[in-house]
Amino acid sequence: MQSTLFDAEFMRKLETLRLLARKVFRGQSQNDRTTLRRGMGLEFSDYRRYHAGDDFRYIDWNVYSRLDRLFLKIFTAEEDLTIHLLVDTSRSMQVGTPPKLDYARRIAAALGYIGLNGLDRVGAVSFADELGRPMPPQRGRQQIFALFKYFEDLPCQGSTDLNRVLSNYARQSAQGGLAIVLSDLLDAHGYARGLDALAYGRFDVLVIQLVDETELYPPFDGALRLQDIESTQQRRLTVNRRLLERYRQKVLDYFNEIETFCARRNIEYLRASTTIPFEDVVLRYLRRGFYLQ
Amino acid sequence: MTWLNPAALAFLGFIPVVLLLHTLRHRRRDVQVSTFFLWESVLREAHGSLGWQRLVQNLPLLFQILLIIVLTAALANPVLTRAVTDNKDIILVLDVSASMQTRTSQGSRFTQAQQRALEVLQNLPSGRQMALITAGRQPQVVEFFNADKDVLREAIMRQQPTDASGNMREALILALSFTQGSGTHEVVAIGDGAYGPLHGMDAQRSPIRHMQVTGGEKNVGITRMALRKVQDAAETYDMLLAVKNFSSQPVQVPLQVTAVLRKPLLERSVALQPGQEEVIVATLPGPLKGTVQAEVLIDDDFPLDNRAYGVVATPTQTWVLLVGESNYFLETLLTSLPGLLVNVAPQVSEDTLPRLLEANQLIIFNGVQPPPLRRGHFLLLNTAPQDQRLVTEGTVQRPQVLDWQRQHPLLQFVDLTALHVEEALVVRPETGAQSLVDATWTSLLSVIDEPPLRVVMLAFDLMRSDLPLRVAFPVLMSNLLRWLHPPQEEMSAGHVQAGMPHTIFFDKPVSHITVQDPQGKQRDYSVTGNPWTFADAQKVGTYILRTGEAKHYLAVNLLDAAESDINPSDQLASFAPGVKPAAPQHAGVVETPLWLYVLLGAVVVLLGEGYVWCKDF
Repeated sequence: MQSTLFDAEFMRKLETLRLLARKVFRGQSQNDRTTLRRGMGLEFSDYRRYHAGDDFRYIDWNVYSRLDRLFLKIFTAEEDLTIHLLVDTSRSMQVGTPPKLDYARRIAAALGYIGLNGLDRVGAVSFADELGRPMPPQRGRQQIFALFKYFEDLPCQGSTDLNRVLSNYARQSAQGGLAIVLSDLLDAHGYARGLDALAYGRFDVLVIQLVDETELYPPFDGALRLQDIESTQQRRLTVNRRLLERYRQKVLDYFNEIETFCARRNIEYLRASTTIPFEDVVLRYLRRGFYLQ
Repeated sequence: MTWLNPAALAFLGFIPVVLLLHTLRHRRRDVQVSTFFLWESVLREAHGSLGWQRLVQNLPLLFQILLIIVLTAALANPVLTRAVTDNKDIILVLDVSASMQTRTSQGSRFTQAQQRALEVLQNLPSGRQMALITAGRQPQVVEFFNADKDVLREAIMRQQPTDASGNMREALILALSFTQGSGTHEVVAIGDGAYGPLHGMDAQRSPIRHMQVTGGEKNVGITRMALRKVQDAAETYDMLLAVKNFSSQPVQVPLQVTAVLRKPLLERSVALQPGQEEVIVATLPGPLKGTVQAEVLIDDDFPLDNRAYGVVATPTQTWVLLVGESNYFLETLLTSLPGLLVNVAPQVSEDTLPRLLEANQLIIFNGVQPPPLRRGHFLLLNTAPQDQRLVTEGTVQRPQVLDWQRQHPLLQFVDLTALHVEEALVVRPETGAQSLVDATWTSLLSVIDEPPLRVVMLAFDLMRSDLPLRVAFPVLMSNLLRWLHPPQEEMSAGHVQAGMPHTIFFDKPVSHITVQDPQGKQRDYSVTGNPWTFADAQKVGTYILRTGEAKHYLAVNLLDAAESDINPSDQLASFAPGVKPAAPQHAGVVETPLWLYVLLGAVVVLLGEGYVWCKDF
């Protein structure tokens, strides 16, 4: 099982991990995750009165012998988790060395691999100003190649409209679960409504913001013609030391604003610089944040 | 404002070059960024407006363009032109008399006068000329008409007040002579108004503008000083000293007379009312030799006249042999002259003459024929020598004086105007002799000056003329004795007012003389004649003139009551602008150069650009 996204050694390390969701979701298939559904799991949940048609196998006969009344034992169903990988493919993601999109692809692939390996359902969708072609949530390790292929073929195009695409996804998605958003979150229109739509819906949201160092420390000064890579707008200006310092402060303020927002919405947030090897992001930072077990 | 060097404006052509360089240097690089909204937010917060942002971004360029403009302006030599209606050449008369040393609260009067002179120069219309005349004891043209203000400014600043009396009248007359009666010249006199009489100037044709400097009014000064040895008493001297209060308040003046090494000779205190002069005659104990200094110990505004100097020299003794007829006037005069000892003889033969020459420095033949004269000093009165150089041809009645050589040492200060002579010998000086007083048909005074023989011949009888009754007689005799028999001691002395020439007689040929001034500076002079006139006694004090081993002390003093009177003269109004100035001929302009200020502006711009560069706007 070879991939251009990462090597076999890394994949072996990923096999020992599983994704954690803080919310409890209703699954589709039986698995080892606790769900809201009462079912045939191993963990006792409650009693209820017997009604006609209930399965006799769950009647607690010991209670019946003492009370002469029929009660059914109710167990928590253990089902699978649906993992939604939302990858930003707007043109701003091609900035950086390596490009932020490559970095996002690898992290998404790694997380998808962990999910599929843990028998969870894993779906993926790219987005820019519109939702891209989705890969519906599927289960089973045989889906790994399809998932990798999906990520490898992601085009980098369009501008960013986080509010619209995330709201649409929250509305359109039939299945809740863990929504992992991989984006640089650089959207002039904002990100709040989109993330709110996910968080207030059926999703446990993990936002991984990808940042290239050149965005925080621009390696240029002097007379420039800045080009917005998404809108192709141009702006002539002369960049000097003082302006760069103001810009850096502005960027840090923006990042802190995102972090504060996520904390208030109970949205998990991780900022990843492309200078950090993505293996470390997966194996160390995500584990440290208790997103992986 | 006008540009004196408009060709320099071509340097403005550098502006397009700078713009081109700026454009090339600031060719903008294309840079792709992930998003704009953060940059725009930063720019909004940093500059508020795009216009300001552009301005700030282009500050270095603006400074560079401004620098080119300012430097070009400086090179173009801008001048601020101011139209003036008075467009005349100026003859500036600057008072350099001793009273200009008067101290005021704003420096000396002369310092103020220099400033006023510079103001006049500054306002001199462009293209007009100015001449500078100093009014010292003798007027001096320092700078003839010149339009170069730098030269004129340097000439004004070079001047210093002298210790001598001033003669503003002569200076103004000289200045007026330059105007040639035209209306295109203006005489500007700058001084303290403490001048002598100013009458007789043609101020109607060329107005004189007087600019008076003021300040300083308290002065007490020594106006006269004389020293002489008492003839009848050994080693005793008489001193005459006059002290005058020129202030408006009564003063008590301590007075001190000291000899060499400040040895006190006299101490006295004199009370003087305003304008009062006190004459002090005192006897000083001897022996005295060298400089005697009189001093009023008072701190006033004009300290120059607080000291006066006198010199005492060893008196010389001159033996004179009077041969011939008795002459009351001559004998009285000879016996009254100090240091002169007179012998009388009725006749002198050729044989006895050599012996008599050894005993007498001067032999006077009065009306008797002298023997042949080959060496020695002789005065012949109404008689002729047996010499081919002075030929006599009878007599002439009532000869009229036609002219006399005023510059000859024998006739200095001698006025022979309307001299009456009843009868005189007809004398025709030949080669080797010289006529000093020419009269009708004869020479009244002739000399033979061929060392070792010196003969002075007066061609008439003193008793048959009015010469003995005139002031000229003792002056002539004094000059004659000094010329025929100069002081032969190692030390002689003289007195002179500052700025006045002093004549020295030598008894033997001298080629050069060394003069030490009161400050101790020495200077060598070439001696071109005998007597020799020393004209550089400009400073108050004692000069020492050395010729070999001999020393001649010269006491130089101000001793001028008119000059010590530092208050403005009452006659000042007589030549102050009492006439209307001539109608302006042409409107002129005064140019004030501005290049220095523009250059300072360039420095400021340069500093501004440096600041912008350091701050990295």
